[in-house]
This record gives sequence, C-alpha cells and structure tokens, in this order.
Amino acid sequence: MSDDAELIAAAKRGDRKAFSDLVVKYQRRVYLAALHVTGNHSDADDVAQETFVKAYRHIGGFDGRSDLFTWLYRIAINTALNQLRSQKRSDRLVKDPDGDEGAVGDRADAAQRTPREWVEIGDRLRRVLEQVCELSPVLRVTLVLATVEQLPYKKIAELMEVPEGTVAWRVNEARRQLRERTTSEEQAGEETPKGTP
Amino acid sequence: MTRPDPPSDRDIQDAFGALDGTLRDGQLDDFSSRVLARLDEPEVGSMDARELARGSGVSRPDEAALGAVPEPARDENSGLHEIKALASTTRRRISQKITSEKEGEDSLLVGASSGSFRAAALPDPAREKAAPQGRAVEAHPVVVRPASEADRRSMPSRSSSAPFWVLGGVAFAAAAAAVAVFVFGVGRANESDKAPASDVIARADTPAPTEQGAATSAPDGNLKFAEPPPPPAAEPAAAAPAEVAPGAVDEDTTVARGDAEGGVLAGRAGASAGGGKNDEHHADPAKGSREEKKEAEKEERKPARKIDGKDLGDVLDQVTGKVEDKPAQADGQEAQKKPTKKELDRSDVAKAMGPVRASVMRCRDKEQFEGTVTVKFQVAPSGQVTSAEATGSKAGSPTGACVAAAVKKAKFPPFDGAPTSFTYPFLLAE
Repeated sequence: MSDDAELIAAAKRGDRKAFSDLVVKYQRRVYLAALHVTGNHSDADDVAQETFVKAYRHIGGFDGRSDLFTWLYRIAINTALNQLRSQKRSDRLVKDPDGDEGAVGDRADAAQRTPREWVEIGDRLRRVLEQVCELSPVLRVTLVLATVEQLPYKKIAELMEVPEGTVAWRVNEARRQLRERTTSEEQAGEETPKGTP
Repeated sequence: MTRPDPPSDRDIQDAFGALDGTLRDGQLDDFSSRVLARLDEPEVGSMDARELARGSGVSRPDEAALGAVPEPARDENSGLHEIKALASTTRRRISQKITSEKEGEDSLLVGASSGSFRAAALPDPAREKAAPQGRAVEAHPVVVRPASEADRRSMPSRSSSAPFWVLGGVAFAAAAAAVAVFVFGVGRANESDKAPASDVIARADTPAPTEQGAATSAPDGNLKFAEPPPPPAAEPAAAAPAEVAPGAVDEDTTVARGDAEGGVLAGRAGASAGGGKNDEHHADPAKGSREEKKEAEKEERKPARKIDGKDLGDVLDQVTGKVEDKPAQADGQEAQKKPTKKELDRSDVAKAMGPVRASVMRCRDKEQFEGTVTVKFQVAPSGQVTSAEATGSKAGSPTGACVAAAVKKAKFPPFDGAPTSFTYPFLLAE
C-alpha cells in the first residue's frame, strides 16, 4: 500500500514511469474485471486501457480514501457499462465465430476468440456466457459482480451507486431472466425438429 | 416434462472462469506501453464527474472534475524519454501495420483501439498505395469536438511544437497579406485593361457605398477584390489576420487552412463566377464565349478553389516566392489546368473531411454515441464520394449509417487516375 501511495504521489506529479508501474501492477485485475463485464477480449482491452487513461488524467482527484484498485475497478465498471449502453452490442457478444451468428459483429468475433478457445470453453459454459451476456448491461454487470466477483450487495450498491435493495432486485431479475431464457431455449429445441426439416 | 435447469451461480462462475482462461500468456505484456501511448492522445470525452467522485471517495463531484486534475509535469529529466520513445514507436508500428494490412481486416483497425490509428486517414490498403512518408507526420485525426482546455493540457507534443504553430501562423498571415496585395494588383491591372462586358457588369452591380460599408464593417475579400481603386497596402494586411484568427484551430491545421481558404475565397469566387474572369482578356480570342461559359460553370462548381482561374496554392506560392512566377495568365489554357492531382493524399482527405465534421457531430448527438466510427469510402476522379459505409464496430448501425451519409457529401479536388478508397476514423466525442 505504501508502495502504491508513493507511486500515486509520483504519478500525480506527472511521473509516467510511476504510473506505468501502477498499470503493470493492476492491469490483469482491471482487464479481467472488464472482460467479465464486456464478455470479449477486444472490448475488455479497450475498457481496460480507457480505465487507465482516465485514471491517469484524473489521478489528481484521487484522494486515497478508497484503495486504488477499488477506484480503478469503479472506473472500469462504469466505462464498460457506458460502452455497453452506447454501443448496444449485447446481441453480438459471445457469438460463435463458426456460426452464422458470428457475422453479426465483426469486432467481437474476428479478434477475440479462436475456435480453439471456444472448444476450450465448452458448449455448456459458452451457452451460460451467451445467456449472461444477453442480459441488459445493468443486469449483467450486477449479476457478474454478485456471482463472479462475489462482492457483497453492499459493495455492489456502492460501486453502482444504487440502493442495496436495487442490487438485490437486479440480481433476482437477472436470474429470473436466465431461467426464462433457458426454458424458452429448451422449448425451442423441442419444437425445432418438428417444424423444420 | 423435466424442467430445464437455469445456470446456477456455480455455472456462471465456471463460465467466466473459463473466459478468464482464454487470456493468453503474454497478452498483457505490452498493455502498459499501449496505455502510455494513449496518454498523449487528446481526451476522447470528459470523465463523468460522478464516476470520479464515486471512485475517489470525493463527496463533491466538482472536486474531481477536470479542473481538479493537476497538469502532469513535463519533466524531461524524469526518465520519460524511454517511455515517450516507446509510445511513439508503438504508435508508428500500429500505424504502419494498419497501412500495410489487407482490405477486410478493418477489425484490426478498430480492435487495435490504442487510438493511434486515429492519427491518419488511411488510403485503401487494397490499392497498396502507401501514403507519402513525409505526410504521415502531418496527418491529423478529425476530432469531432471543439478544442478544449483539456486538449491543450493533455497534449505535450502539441505544446512542444508551439513555436512551429506560431511560426506557421505568422507565415500564413504573411501569405494571406501577400495574397491580398497580389489580388489588388490583379484588380488594378484588370482595371487598366479593357474589361469584358461581364466584368463591367459585375462591378456595376457593386455600388460604391456598399463596398465602402462592407469594407469598413468587415474586411471582405470579395468586395475588396471587386473594388477598383487601389487600396493602401496596410489595408489588406490588416484584413488578413481577421480572416486567419477564427481558423486558428489547434486540432487540424490542414482543415483549418482549408476553412480559411474557403472563407477568404468563397465570396471572391462568387464574383468571378458572375463573369469576372479577369484573365479572359488575356485568353486566346479564338476560344470565344464557349470557353468562358465552361469556365464560369467550373467556377460555380468549385467556388473556393480558384482565383481568376488560378489555384490558390499557386497564387500563394507565387506571392511568397516559393515557385517561379509563371507568365501570369499567358494563355487561356491556364484556367483549364485542373485536375492536376495525380492522386489524393492525406491532406486532401483532411480538407474534405473538415466541412463534414458538423454533420458527423449531429450523428453523435442524434445517436447518443461517443466513440470511434470508421468509415470506408470511395472517391471518384471527379472528386465526388461514390460510396461510403461504416466499418468495424459501427458497421450496419444507425450511427455508422449516419456518419457514412455525412461522408458521402464530402467534396474532394478532382484528380487523375482510378477511384480511390480511404478508411477514415471519426472520433465522436464532446
């Protein structure tokens, strides 16, 4: 922590080497946080970079009351949320590049995941990822924070600046929607052989 | 019927754990250098103050707003040289990579996301025409936002080149003054010659009180150009800065220069389009009125490109002594020298994109999108954009379509050769 404090102080003075050290220290955690929210490496890379760029430009406003990672994490989550909202690309996240759906988004499928990776992930897990990524950005982020990052509702409420009750509702709503999707997918799977050749 | 199991928390954790596993070893090795390279770029959008306040624990958002950010000291003795060199190398590498990539790999352009690609309008790699190296340095992005204080803060390279801008500004002001002197000189010469009837009409249409009023209220090249009496030398010199100053945008000098050209010449060309082809009396009489008509049509189509049938660049070059003074309007063919360009270059693209910025900005407002929209477009030898479409992440989106439609309205100078494709990233930000 003391290391961080020194590096932060140096970065505030414009020492880019110090800031670079901070980037190296936190890049993986920030990147993974962004990856969990965006669902693909390209967007995660964008978000992670943007997070550090914003952090550098505004590090003068960081007063050290929270630890640096929490601050970076908040920036990353908000940056990712903004990106998801503005680009409305939830429909083309985590698409199989081998399938027709892969053509929906050139960026998500061209640069991110190779077929090998998809094999690694496995069908079942990929379907889970797809379902999660089909949720609205806010529900997705809340669910990811609650289940993947395993943050307490209180912390999520602070991060997203909403009441705890809202967090709880969002998590439940996300789960309800996942349940619904699963049901509808199963039904569609049963009907498809009859309806299509 | 068995009820299907929704994904449990465990499933979700496993899925995201697997997703984490796709992060390859070494994938983040150059991450910090890419971040550092982006630090020198203009800020895409101001950070949400609430975001900062939340993050830093600051109770009042305004404390964390831009004003609270200290200017990072540009300490050249702080070991930044390596980092700067690394940043510039990375930028150059990405830029080179992009220009050498084959068509269809636009995802790389967008996916690179370091923002370095924004630094240039990229000639279509399919044509394998590398942009002139010398110009690569000059290339500027079309940043669709007004120059802000934050920009100036975050652009050390710009501040380090301040003397260049100052010198450039002074040189441009001097050139503009020289143009004005030249134009007056031409006006006087024409006055002494026997002017064609159309020219006389144009002057007759401009009553003296109006000219004077306009000249005193706002120095206007058009009125001064049409004004017969020889003005004092100081007057055009004083008028020049008034035209240059609004164009002194620090974002893109090329575009700013183009704007200034338009501002100086638009009205002037209008006067000449009305029949004021001052070189007409130098032309071969055999060419007759057909020639004149053709020229007038040309002038109407490209009002900002010519003065008296001469390209502005030639006029500037002549008066600033860059090139030998050609026998001025020695023959009527002088006026027909367009198109002279063999191909379009980056500066042409930058100039053409300048007037489009406002439309692109409207797309940003309309679609509520901030980010980069890359548009691929094709320019015909006539200078018209024949096709434009968004590529990358905004392909097929309303925002992409909006920006592409704006780009379609861009006008390029005519050139010889085959239609040329360009890929141009627009940065939509406040």
